[in-house]
Amino acid sequence: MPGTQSGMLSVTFFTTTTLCYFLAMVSYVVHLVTGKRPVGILADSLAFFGFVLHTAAIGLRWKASYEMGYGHVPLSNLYESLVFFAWTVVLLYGLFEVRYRYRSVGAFVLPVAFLTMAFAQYGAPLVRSAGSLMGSEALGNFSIPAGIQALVPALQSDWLLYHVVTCFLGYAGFAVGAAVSVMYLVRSRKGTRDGRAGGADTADGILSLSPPAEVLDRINYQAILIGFPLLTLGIITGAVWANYAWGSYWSWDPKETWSLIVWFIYAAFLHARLTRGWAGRRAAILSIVGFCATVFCYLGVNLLLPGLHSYGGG
Amino acid sequence: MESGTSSIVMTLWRFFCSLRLTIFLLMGLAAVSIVGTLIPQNAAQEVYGEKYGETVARLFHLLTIDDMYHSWWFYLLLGLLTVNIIACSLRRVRRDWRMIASPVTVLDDDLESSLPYVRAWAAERGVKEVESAASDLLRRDFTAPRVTRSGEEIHLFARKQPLARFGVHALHAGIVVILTGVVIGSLLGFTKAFVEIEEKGATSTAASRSGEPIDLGFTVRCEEFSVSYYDTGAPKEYRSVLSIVDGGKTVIERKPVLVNHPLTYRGITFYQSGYNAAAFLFSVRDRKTGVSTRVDVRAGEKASLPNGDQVVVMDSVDEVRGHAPRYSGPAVHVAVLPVDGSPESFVLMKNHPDVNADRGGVYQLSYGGVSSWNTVLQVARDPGVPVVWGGCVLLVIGFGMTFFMSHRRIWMRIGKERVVMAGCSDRNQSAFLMFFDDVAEALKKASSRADTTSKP
Ligand code: HEM
Repeated sequence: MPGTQSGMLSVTFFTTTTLCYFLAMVSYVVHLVTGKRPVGILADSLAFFGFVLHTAAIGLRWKASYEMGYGHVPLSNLYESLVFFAWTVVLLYGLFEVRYRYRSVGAFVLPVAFLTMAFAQYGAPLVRSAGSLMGSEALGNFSIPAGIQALVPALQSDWLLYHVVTCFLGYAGFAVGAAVSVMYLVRSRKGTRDGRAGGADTADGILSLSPPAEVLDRINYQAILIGFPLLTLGIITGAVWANYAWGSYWSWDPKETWSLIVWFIYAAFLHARLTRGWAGRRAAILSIVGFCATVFCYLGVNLLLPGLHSYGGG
Repeated sequence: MESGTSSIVMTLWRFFCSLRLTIFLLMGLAAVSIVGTLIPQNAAQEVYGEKYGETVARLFHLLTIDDMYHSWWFYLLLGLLTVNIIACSLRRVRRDWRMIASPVTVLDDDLESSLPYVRAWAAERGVKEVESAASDLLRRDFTAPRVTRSGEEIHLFARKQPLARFGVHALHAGIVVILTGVVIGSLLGFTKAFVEIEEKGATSTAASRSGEPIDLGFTVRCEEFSVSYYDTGAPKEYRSVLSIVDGGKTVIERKPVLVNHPLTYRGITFYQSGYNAAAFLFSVRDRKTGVSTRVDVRAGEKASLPNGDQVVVMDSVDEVRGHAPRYSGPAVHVAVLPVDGSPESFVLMKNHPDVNADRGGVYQLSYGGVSSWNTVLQVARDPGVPVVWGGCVLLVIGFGMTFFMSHRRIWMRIGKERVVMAGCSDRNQSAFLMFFDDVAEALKKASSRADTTSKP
């Protein structure tokens, strides 16, 4: 555990943040289902309060790292990256909510933030037991140390900051896109089922506050339009850094390769949309596939494939 | 004959201009890249045999699946993507250039029906008056329009950021430039070679990945090497101080090279990559006489003690804490081979001289740490790197232009009876539409009679 006062406080804040996101998530769902406006406002307030705490906690952790004599941005291990990822997801969600004014979308985005925070704090034992079931030694020894660690020489570079920030903002774009896509699929399935039953009113019953399908589709596209250039920047800054640290900008290490795979998928998404009119359902499915690849690139590669990157090492 | 070849060329051209091909190639590259992360790359032939069986292993080798990112078919996919981008871009650049160099400034019926946003209303004031109001409005809120007169009607045309059309071309060109840089690097450069130099030593050849010597054309000297640790025992910094001698002259003197801080000379770059101990320092005390001598033991070699006994270092660590939590600091595992008597081996620690002080026979050995290091440096020469970075810059600029700019156009046709306004934007439609409607609203007001008080 982080040893200093700021470090302790930041841990408390992170725990509270997780709780806030959980409550916000539940409120968003209730808001979506019942259509009650005050519940929506409560959800917004909880998410906002959580985000403020979250921001403060990251700041405190940064401060603690200086107090401990390491002095680095809190982006250097799996725990810190998960926390930052959740932060960027909530940030991006906030921007979209301000722009589109559809609160109900939070019911699908906040779970991503909540699950990420919960995984950072309580996820390791789960992975370990899954690992022992599968007989995998790497998974069996998995842990997510929350302590502030010193940077090994390879990580001592400003490019760490540029690389991680751009990558995770990109991932956040994809996360929002995928969450909205799930909402799109749930919504449109609901619509057709009720449509067949002939009850147009009941379609409004469960997802009464869901934005129109076109809006969800547009948010999906916009989120990916934000994520894709940022992922591109992330890959480029990673290549520049690798060139400084290892003497080669690209070595087909599994993490690099997977980030390229993700990049190919979203490039295909954009072209298919632009020229072959892949919107709606197909775009939603492709967006979800892309995000699954992103998650694998982020977590799966370290857990299941060997490589250079230090995140997620067991 | 003539038409035969030209139709083949046309078919090929159409094939390579197709975006269906693009999507297929992008998805194909993603799919085969996944395979490459699941099957180990560049492993020994036996590894594949053990894992997948002989037949499959031979098949892998035949199809270069054991080094698939450098296989002919992977290059083929990248090559097809490159041709695809170039063909597609050539076709579109021509079109976009024409659109920008000679824009259609007159709003005729065909154009009007092809545009997404059209507003029309009855004109209640004179053509001249409406035209001057419209010009003022566009100049104030958008940009100065071009005015064309045709008969009774006046046409206005205004546009913003036409260069936005070229963002996507810069982006695609960036990808082609990057791939070109990759090819240059793989044809003219090398990576992953290394040198191992002892402190105060020098070398003018590197060893390639496969072990062949590479002549550097100059001499690298390692003046000193040091390694430091955090309190926890985790490594904090590796530092080699290098000098370079070229043609008998010292051209670079005592330049520190650290991880993330390489040194480049004549296109060849040295990266701090690792280190190992070259020699260990021991103090050897004769238990009878109490006389101490200093003995250097080189890694992997036997060193003789004054009476002819021999010492050899079998293993060493910089930080023993990981193996023996109660202790800290450097440690060695030594073997003493006495002239007569049986050999014995034991551990000595620099920070804990009392441990095993009774071992070693005639002499009491104490370990003084590493007396000389070998630094290990990665060596690479890649003339494609600047090209790759150039491509990346183009790519990023292209993204910036594509996502932050939009080519917006507004046309107006002002007639005696009707005013028609039309417009389009290549992206960010909703924001443009809002702006478009605001302008239309303002112009409608300016062209309606209700607004005029001075009219007779
Ligand atoms: C790895 C390769 C590629 C990447 C990363 C890439 C990226 C992009 C991006 C980001 C856009 C803008 C998308 C949007 O506005 O929504 C775009 C558009 C486009 N790309 Fe690509 N592209 C790639 C390969 C290709 C290839 C091979 C072709 C060739 C046929 C191509 C043709 C086009 C066309 C025609 C557009 C539409 C431009 C427009 O209408 O604005 N792209 N590409």
